[in-house]
Amino acid sequence: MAKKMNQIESKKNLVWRRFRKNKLAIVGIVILGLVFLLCGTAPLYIDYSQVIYQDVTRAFVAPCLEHPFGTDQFGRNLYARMLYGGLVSIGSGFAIVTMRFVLGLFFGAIAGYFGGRIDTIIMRIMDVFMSVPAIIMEMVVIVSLGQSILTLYIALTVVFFPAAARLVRATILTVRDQEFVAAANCYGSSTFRIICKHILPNGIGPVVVDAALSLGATILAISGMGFIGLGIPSPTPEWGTILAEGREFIRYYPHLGIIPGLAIGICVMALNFIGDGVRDALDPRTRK
Amino acid sequence: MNKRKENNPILDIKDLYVSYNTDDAVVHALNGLCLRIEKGEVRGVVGETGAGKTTMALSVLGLLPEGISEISGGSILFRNQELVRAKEKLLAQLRGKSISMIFQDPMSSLNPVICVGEQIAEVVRLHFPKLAKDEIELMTDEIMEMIGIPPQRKSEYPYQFSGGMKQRIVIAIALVCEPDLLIADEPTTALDVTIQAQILELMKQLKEKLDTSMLFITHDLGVVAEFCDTVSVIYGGEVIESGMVEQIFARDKNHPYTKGLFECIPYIDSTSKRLTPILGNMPDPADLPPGCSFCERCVHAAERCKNEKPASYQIGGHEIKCFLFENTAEVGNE
Amino acid sequence: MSKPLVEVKGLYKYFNTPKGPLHAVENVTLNINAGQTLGIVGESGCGKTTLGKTIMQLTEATKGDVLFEGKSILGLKGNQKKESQKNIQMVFQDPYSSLNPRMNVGAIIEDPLVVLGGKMSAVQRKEQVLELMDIVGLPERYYNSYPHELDGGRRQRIGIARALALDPKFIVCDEPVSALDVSIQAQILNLLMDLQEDKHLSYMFITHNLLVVRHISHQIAVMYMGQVVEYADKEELFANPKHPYTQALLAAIPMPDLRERQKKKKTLKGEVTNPINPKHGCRFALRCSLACDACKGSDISLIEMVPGHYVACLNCS
Repeated sequence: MAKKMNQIESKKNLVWRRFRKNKLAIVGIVILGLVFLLCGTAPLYIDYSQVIYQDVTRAFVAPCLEHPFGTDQFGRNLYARMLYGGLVSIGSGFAIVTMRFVLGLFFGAIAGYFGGRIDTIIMRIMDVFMSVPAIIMEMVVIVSLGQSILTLYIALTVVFFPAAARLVRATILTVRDQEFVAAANCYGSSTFRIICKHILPNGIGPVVVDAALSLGATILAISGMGFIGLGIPSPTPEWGTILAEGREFIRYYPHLGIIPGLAIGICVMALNFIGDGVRDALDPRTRK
Repeated sequence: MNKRKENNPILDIKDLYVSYNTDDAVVHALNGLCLRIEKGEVRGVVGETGAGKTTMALSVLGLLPEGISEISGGSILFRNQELVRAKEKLLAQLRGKSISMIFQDPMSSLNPVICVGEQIAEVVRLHFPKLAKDEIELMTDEIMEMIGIPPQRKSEYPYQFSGGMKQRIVIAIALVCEPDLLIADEPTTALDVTIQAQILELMKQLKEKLDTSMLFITHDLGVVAEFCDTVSVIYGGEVIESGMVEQIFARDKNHPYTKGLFECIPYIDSTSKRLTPILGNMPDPADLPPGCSFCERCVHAAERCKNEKPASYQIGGHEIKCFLFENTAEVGNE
Repeated sequence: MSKPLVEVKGLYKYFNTPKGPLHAVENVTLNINAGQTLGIVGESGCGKTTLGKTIMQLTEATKGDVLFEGKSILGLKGNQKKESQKNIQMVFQDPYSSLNPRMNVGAIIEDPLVVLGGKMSAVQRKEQVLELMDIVGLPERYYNSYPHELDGGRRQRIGIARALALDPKFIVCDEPVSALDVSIQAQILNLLMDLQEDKHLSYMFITHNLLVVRHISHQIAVMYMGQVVEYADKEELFANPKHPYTQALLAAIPMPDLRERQKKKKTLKGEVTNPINPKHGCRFALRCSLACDACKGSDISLIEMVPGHYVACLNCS
């Protein structure tokens, strides 16, 4: 009995302690921290005009003191573009993950709580969404709605929220049959109240973890769309778009490919390290 | 019960100390536990949640969770062989063949994807690798007959059996190699009362036939009265009372905790309106009091009890760890 | 004789399974009087928990009715339903899963007041919660504690306090002490009995433990495979059990008394099966030593053998 109390009480500490032991996860956090710091402070000393300022006379400059990352084919400062691009890429990642999360929560909660025909209908619709290959679906949405930041967000949300809905539904199913939910019914709690106050707070753990873990994949997806030209339209900087724009020139000006490519790769890798660390730290098999 | 050989116990646990090292605190699960089982004896072990019964059972078989548990003192002798810190190979040889264990929940004790006959045969094959296939099958059939399930059903899967029948199969697996000692950890607690009666009846018959010694863990004093020869009462990780079942159930001399247990259960013939509960709660095993572990809940507690641990006082084979009995008997050896 | 507080009239609950309808509760008719306890006793699969849930409207009855103070409660909706819910509450079996782990003790006990407490202010609610905690024997210092920090007995007290929050007249107790240690069981049983006396509460006490049910009940109904097979005042039931199943149940209880040890026990053979599409006739016939052909023919109804003592059996004395 006391054993159980100690285990649960220190669970947060336990999880954090285990996470700390995972070296890769710490590396991930450090890297991500640096990226956030650099990109986040950029607007303080780099004006946005620098990002889009074109000077064709200074095109294709290799990395040097004046332009730490060099310039691109339009003479734009790649350093500025990369830093702002980081904000855009990562920021968009967060935005999309949040939208997915909210939609997934909504549909998953309804399907999970009510069950029966509502559950079947919602889940089959989710299945339809999931059966179309992601890239195709994204392309269709963006092309039909016109290319813009918003349509990119919509496309990436629509493609991936069914998976979130599935996860939410599963966690709700485990919580729904607990006796405290029945108790809430006994004193006349409304369905909305039961879902919000009783079911979601208890089921949300794995969903939040999943959302956090998918941030890396989302950034990659955004960059992917940017790479095929359906991403955030120029001149708004975004790593994938930057990479796409530099694609033709990497033979002679490799910095145009290497820098954005490395940025995407390192960031996603860091996020994956962190994600693995979180998952391992929560893994009940290694739980004491 | 009369076939016991004194001083040649099949299991002798002496002063066992087991602790769990959690992140926050050290949980002292067993604190100097002493227990003996003679050959052919059924010893009931009574205690409530957190007393340490399951920890004791797992210690015997070396099944304590690795890494966080520690046997910090004492010894466990099985047929005069030391089990504490014994090599895994030795323990593995003993498990299933010389010492078997059955657990509380029959639903999760059986592998759902292997047919029951195979699960029984597996144990035989493990311990008697040289036996021929048909001999193994014969042993399987025999034990299934003994537990009352027709051998024709040996190719069926666990889901096809009810809870009571699953527990019978678990018993079959435990007894097929005719072990010397069977450890049963609350084997009937999860079963309905009529099924419990069937299982206890079965265990009585098997005990007669196979002369297995048993360590029978339960919280139910009724089951102890029906089935056990001797009783040990566990509280706070140690045995606070031990003796023949007649001595304990005579109810003229008992540890205050045992007395409390008897008094708090509703009886079939009682007329009083209120039950007499034991006040308070179990002590926190991470924070045990220095003296007697029961003193905070004991109506007879004296100043002495808070700081001094009572020894085990013997009165003709009946041992009680309480200062109340200090003068009525000689101090027993622990 | 005053009218009973709660009347269960011909209640049926069937579940749809791929193999056919599962007759979980079959034609159950029972009364509970004000200030008294009706014990419902039976083993797993007998339908006692389903009966409790159907009365609490946690699951919809297939047929039949439940009356509270003479008025039907099963068909109610909206505000009428909420009003009736104030009168009937439930205490659950598992002290671990019956409390929301994310809410502290105060919030859990307060929740019914928030939902159905009408125009109570937060201060009034808190006062009420503290009073309830006092009534059930929970020290005030646990107000901000979380369920996982407390042991089974205290958690069950929280469940009882929550059930009392709306000042109900009738509480369905679904195995409220089965998951507790014996020493704690005694504390909780005493508490329930004291509350009954102080507040003139009625209980439907569901359990598989005959000794507990005898202690706390005034009348007892024995259920087997969805049906009530025997019903009597408690003393009468234990003194003269008539149905063979009741007798088997009583015989099977392990008594903490050595005199029982020598007696040869006649154990009931066979097992309970799930009542899916059950045939007509007595459902206990397959395991009964008194069974005859008539038992397998048509359904057996409860007959009043002795005034106040009902048995559903053709062959008992």
